[in-house]
Amino acid sequence: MAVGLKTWDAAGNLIIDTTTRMSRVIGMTSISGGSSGSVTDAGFLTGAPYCIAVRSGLSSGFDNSMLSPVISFAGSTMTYSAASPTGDHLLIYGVY
Amino acid sequence: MATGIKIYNDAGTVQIDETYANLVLVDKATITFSMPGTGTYDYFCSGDVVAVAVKVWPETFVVKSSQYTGSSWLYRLSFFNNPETTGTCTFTVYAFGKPPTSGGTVGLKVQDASGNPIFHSEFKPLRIIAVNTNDTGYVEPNGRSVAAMFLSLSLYSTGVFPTVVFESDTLRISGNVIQSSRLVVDPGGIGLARLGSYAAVDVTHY
Repeated sequence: MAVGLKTWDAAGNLIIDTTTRMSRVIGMTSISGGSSGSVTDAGFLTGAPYCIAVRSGLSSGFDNSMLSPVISFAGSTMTYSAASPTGDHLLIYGVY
Repeated sequence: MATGIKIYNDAGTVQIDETYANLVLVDKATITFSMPGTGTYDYFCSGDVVAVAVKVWPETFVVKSSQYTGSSWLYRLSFFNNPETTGTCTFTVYAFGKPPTSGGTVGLKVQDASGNPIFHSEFKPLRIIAVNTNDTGYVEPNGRSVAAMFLSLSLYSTGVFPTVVFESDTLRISGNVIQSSRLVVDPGGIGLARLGSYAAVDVTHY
């Protein structure tokens, strides 16, 4: 390793080295079924973007509203579409 | 950036800076519950922005839904026999959230401009090693341990005479291997087809 960070846990196991990809969270938002929109943040340019999209609430079974929203990334912008029948979802987004 | 810290990996990707919090392991629990066929388990956790990864075998799982109020989180997980039936389901859940404000007495600590902890070397970070579609598996080198974090659910309408059912791509994980299985999960509607994705998470020594 020429430069960079290494960390170990208390047992001496290597946890982070210069090859590790670490998730950093940019934000979180709730979206309503039927909605669409975008989030622009320069942080999306600092790694590979990801978004966790999970149905909001306590679903008892599987139904049409559990259809995941469509998420895409372009540059510093994340775009989402929760067109019907997609229901309310929670989005947690970041980079790794 | 006028002041602060940025640490990059060999690929030039930012690992740590003073702007965005690294998600770190805030809870790990191994849970066994009775499951003769399919089962649902509600996992509770506290934290600021909590995401969960799961390791389960031989059953498969999906993340069905989530609910949070303040810093209290509930993830509803669905498990399926595939087709092995043991009568119980044992899984390990790894919850990742923003670094706690307390704890972490030695090591490297990074705070944002407001004094919130962004990184602390005493907490184990969320290490995403790959993002795949839910219909594909993943293999890490031997000796590593992985878990699966659903990014989005797969959902398909499939006709099975005389009804229509929902299918979903479910995952199971053993050691360094993630396997995908498309299973019938419920009676369903028509016309839906969406392929979701998951993150393979390195939980070696976690």
